[in-house]
Amino acid sequence: MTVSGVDSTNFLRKPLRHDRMIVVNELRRAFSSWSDRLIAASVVLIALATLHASLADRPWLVAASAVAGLSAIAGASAARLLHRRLAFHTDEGALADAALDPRARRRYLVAFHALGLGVLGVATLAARPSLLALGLAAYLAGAALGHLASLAAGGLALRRPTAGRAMRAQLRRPIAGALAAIGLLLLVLALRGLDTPPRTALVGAATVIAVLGMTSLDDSAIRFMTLSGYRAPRILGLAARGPLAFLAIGLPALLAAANPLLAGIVTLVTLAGLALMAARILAYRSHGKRAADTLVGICAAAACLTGLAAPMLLPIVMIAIFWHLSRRSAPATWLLA
Amino acid sequence: MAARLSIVIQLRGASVDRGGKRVVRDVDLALSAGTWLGLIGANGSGKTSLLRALAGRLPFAGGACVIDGADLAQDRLARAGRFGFAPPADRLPEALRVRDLLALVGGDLDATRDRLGLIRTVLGIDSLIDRWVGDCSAGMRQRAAIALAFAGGHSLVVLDEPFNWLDPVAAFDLRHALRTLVDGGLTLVTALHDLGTLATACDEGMMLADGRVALAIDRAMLERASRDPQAFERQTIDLLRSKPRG
Repeated sequence: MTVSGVDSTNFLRKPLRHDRMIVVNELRRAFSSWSDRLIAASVVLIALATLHASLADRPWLVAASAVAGLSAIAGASAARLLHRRLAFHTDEGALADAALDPRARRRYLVAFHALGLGVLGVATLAARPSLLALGLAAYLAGAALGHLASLAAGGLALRRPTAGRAMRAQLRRPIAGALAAIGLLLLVLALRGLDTPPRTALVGAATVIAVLGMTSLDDSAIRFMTLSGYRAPRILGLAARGPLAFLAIGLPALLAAANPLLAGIVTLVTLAGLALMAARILAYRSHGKRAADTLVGICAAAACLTGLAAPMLLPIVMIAIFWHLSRRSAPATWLLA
Repeated sequence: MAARLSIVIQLRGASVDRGGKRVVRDVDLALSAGTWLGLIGANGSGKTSLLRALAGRLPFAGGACVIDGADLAQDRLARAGRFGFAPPADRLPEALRVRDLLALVGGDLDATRDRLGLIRTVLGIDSLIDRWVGDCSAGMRQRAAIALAFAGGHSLVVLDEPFNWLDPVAAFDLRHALRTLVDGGLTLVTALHDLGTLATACDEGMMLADGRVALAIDRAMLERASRDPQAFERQTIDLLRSKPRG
């Protein structure tokens, strides 16, 4: 069942209805089976419980700072996302006339921010009810700053994906992985005077940034490769050349330098990045970007929570996740003409 | 033919910026009602930017854009409301059905289908209506995108390379349907790469090179072109080759 056949005579609600239908349909696609919904519900419940456990007994100032910071970031991120959506509607969508109308834009922003406030409210109530007002206020402040920043930065201008696409293509090349590994080794050398904890943290952060860059994906390219007959392992092989080169150079060099802790961190982070990339490749083969990212996000959260709560079960959960994504990806077909 | 005497679209010194760069400069144009203008030019010559600005999808950086006597150069909302516009087929949302999009643009679905008339028939919209956009081929998406330009019943329509991805039969039928609609009073502006369509179906043409008008092609030229399309193609290609790419 889908949202359909809407009465679109209300001109001002058109962009809102358009995106509401997309969200509802994407969610229904991403969680089409009872097992998907069960996993999602479990992850949400565990996440809320974890949030509560993390904040309930903290000193008020610490908890308030965390809630205010996270809420402000959520508000600013939502504002940025909504500006991008409105820019899509005005520049490339079918509803530009409605999306350019200031009244329709206000309705759109108010409706989606109300949704964001609702989700934040539930999360804050579960975590620490006394921080509800602070969380909502911080969200609104973050949203206001996000809107101002988007306007100042020309957030309504047409997105130009080509530059990002070209950069992602460069980052997937083995030479990018080799350069990243050399850069990391130079960083390790530069930090050798530091104590182990800060040095480990800095190198770990640098590794995460490098791996995130090298494992970024272009969803449309994945779909095009699928359309062209590329199977998932081949796509993964092409996309993984950069991070594999990074690991192939970084790991032996760190071991040779008698630094097994950093070698372990680099290995773990790279393998985690590759696993996340493989999951996204499988999801992009059979879902739109938003549905795929939602699905992979839920799976990643399930894996993280399992890793924290019951590490022994992590391999089983990972196998189940990849089996599930592979099963969904296998029948993906597109018509050529 | 009397309707053709009234100018409905006029550009004077129109300029468009994208990404901080001027991509369309000083374009002049006057288009009568019931006319089909074909816009040609190399990739990156500014065709799409000009069409999008005309239809309110981009702002004009300068110049005048007079629609039905009113200068709307600084009023994107008004321009977007005046033009039917086919969104890029590859940007249609995959999580909607074709019927959802038509209803969002045109209102009541049955009325929208009736409004599409000839376009509905030649593009086979009835067979697409229940499909998810994500399950449509490139050609099907293109057919849906073109239908969206006509779903609102506008008398001014902008189509960017409408024959891309269409199979030969659909392209042939669409060309004849568009010509019929233009003869019935529609004012149509299309970007084209098909010089044959320009020569045989359009009333006027314009060649853009590096954002500027390199050649204005009037009815007399197009009539000569339709009599000798090969010579027209040769001349046009030579001219395109001689112009710098954007």
